[in-house]
Amino acid sequence: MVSDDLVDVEFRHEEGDVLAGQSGGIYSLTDHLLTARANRLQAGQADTELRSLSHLDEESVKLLEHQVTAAHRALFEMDGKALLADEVGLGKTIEVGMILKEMHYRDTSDSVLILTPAQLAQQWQAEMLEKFGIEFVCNYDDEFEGFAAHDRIIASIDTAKSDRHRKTVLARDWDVLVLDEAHYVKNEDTDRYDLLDRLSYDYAFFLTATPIQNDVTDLYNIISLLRPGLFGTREGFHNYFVNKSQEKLVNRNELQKRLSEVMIRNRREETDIDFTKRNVTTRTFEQSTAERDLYEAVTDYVRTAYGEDQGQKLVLMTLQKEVVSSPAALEGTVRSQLDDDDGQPAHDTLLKQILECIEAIDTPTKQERVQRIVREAQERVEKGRVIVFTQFRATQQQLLETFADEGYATHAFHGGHSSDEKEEIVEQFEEEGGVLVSTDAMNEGRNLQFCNVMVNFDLPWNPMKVEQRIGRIHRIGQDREVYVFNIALEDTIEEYVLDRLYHKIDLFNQSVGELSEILTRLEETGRNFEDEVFERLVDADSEIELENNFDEMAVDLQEQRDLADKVEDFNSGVFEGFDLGASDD
Amino acid sequence: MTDAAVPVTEQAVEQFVEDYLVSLGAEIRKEGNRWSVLLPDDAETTLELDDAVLEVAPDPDEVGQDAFAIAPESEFVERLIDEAAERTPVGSMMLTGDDLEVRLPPWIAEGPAEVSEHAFTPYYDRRALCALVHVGIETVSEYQTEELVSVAVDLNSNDERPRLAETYLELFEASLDRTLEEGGSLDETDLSESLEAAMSIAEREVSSTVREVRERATRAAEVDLDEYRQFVRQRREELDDDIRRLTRRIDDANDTIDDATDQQERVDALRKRKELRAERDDLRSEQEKLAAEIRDGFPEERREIRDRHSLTVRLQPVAVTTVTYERGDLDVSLRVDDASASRSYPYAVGIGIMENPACEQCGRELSGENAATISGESLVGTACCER
Repeated sequence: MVSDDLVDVEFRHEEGDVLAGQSGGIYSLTDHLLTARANRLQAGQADTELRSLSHLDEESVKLLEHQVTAAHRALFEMDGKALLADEVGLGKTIEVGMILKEMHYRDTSDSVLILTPAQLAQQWQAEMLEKFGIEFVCNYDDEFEGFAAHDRIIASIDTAKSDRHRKTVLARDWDVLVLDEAHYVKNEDTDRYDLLDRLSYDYAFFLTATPIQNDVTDLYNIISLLRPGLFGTREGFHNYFVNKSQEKLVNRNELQKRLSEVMIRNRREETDIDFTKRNVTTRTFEQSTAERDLYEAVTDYVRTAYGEDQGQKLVLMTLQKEVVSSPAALEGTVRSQLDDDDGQPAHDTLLKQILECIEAIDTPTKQERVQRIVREAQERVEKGRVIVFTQFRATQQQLLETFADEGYATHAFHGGHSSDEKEEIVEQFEEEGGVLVSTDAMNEGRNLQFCNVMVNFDLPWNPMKVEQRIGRIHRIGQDREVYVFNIALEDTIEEYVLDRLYHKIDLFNQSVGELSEILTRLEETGRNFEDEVFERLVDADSEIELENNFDEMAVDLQEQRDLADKVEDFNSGVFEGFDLGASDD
Repeated sequence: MTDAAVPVTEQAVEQFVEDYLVSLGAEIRKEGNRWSVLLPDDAETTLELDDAVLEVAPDPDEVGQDAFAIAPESEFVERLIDEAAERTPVGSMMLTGDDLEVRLPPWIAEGPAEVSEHAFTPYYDRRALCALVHVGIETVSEYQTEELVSVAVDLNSNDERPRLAETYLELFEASLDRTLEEGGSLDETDLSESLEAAMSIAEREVSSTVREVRERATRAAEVDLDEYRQFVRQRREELDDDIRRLTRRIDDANDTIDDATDQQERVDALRKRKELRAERDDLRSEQEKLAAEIRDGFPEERREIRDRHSLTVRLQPVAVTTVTYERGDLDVSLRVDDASASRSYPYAVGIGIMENPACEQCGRELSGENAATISGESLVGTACCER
């Protein structure tokens, strides 16, 4: 018996009766060798191939080598408890999708809980379904009936920790827990940390590109949730790994060794991802007088109505978006507003005025101009394939008619189609070429690399949605340069969002990972991008105030981006040192 | 450590199932991936395989109800392997110069010298005990770690024979296309002493794994102790507060006793004071107990943590083979360019040349790093004496 302060080790030799009764016996050597081989197989690693890989739809998801390796290591070398800490944009979500698919395939994941920042929950849900065929209920779905009612749930972490749900979340033994943006759960004094600490689960996968936000204690806290005890006590960890006088890391080799038991970090330069160039052009056009009248009428109405009743926010936001998309899109909403008579004659008068303004417009400027852009673009590309995106079905309809009148082959894609129909539409577009006019129902999984020109006829206010649109054609497998054209009308909300926000901080050249990091940071400060755009619009009493409002928002975003960059750089530095640098010891 | 585990691949599983069924006397008829199996009535097995159909598949779930799956992790394969693993744990075999190719040592293989001729002359037989030892490291705070190690000891001297332990593993693979001769019968008492020696070697072989698991367990135990320490600190603060609160209430009771005009009121206050004092005494005694715990370094908690985190390393031999192998001399003729030299070395089948020779000029041992070359008529080291 070897004795240590806290852990005793006892060796037991259990010869048992292995030799008993064998004395002088005659045994078949063949049988004996089979027994030895059987024992070697028993001790061997079970088959650890990712069996579900062959069941994935290659059209829906293109796997990269580093992702497959990460999923394999997390499952089979880390016993299903891993921190996936790839640099941004390398597909950590895909890695988790593969892990969940494999566990589903092996029947080891009856109950799965994915916790994400609020704004990423639905994106996770869509990706899991479209790329991996795994259906989850999201806490924003109408059918969501609480954490006890479903076996596969994607929820915002703040919903899970709320007083309403906390008890049921904690009452269950989850098979698998996934925590996205795990660095937001780094502080052990928060409710979020407490929730994670108390959750009961067999397997856990935490995701972050930046495990260290402020200091190495972040890492200690996150890892301690995954593998309690791996780093010993907090104090011991600090004493051993941080040189307090110089505030720098020491004993790096040991830290790396322990981290490698639980953390996987791929770096961009080590992977074979190679994106082609992305060219983004924004064209702004002067509004006609009639369009200016319409825009002002709508903006005035939105400000007035919102000032009176903030409960109408969603409808008012829609009106403000529709007015820069097309009069056709706007008309439908205005008419249904009139039908929903709320008993306010003043509103009706304003709405009727808007209808009059709509009627005064002959051909919308954007519609005229988009023809020219499409024609120019088509001359450059094979089969003249161009995708035009709009947020609204009425605008889509009008665009389709206009393009058809001009003799283009047209294809419509929207949420009303069944998946088979969608498949067929994409195939026809690939074969025939022409113009595909799509709403944002065009989902992540669609494979459209055969096209490299895209027009944003109108612009979602949420930059994530813009990136998702571009991501349909600018993705792994695209071997040509990609051209993105944005169309906007001067002096409208669209121009502000484009000029003041998107371009100022170069959002068009950010990866999805970088964007989600910036937006999640913004959310951390309690704000939602779309709401903020809207509030700043309705709050402004004058043109100058409006400009100031958007400038202010741009400064905020820039700050979040700088912070995100800084933290990312810091992590790259720290972990690069782990992989390549010599020990400081 | 000579790791004896083998990967459980589809191919390994398929081959093993076939070999095992044949050893039971089965007749196998193969049609594509499906095998029809006929077992003799007296086959010693608990597997119910009368007229059974087996199907080779990458995944057990892909096989229909009418057949047993031959696939990694299939229930049927696991039962078959479990049965085979316990069937004949002891055996013996004979290794002759004809069974194995001459094993060249690194001091020849990794140097410039070519072997132009070699001949093995056996003089006598030696016996060794080879064993596969299963090692299970059990802990509460970590996952169970399992290893299978191969060890070999000389049956007379109980000296370790590491190279034979490696050869032992190769024999299982080689046995697929070669028939080994069975060795002589065994004597339990002769074997038990050598087996104990083999187990001690296995214990040493896994010591670094045990050390790592223990380090991890120690860190986990320290976290437990630290949490307990914090709990005690917090509890002491609570006790301080409670005692202060009770002392105030006792003071109030004292005042009531002093000022009471009514006897009943005084009696009630006295009774109350007694209760409060008793309560305070309880808390003080708990406080003293905690203070003593802190002073002594939490002996009871340590004991509990020690019990909880202790490691048990179980070593169990799962296959024991006596190997009779030939000892003799190996005559080797070496050549480097035009120079040549012939030497004779003590040699054992399955082990190779028993000891590394020395450089004939300076006496330094020849090895992979200091391989043999020829200088004049001498065999010298490339690193120490080559000119």
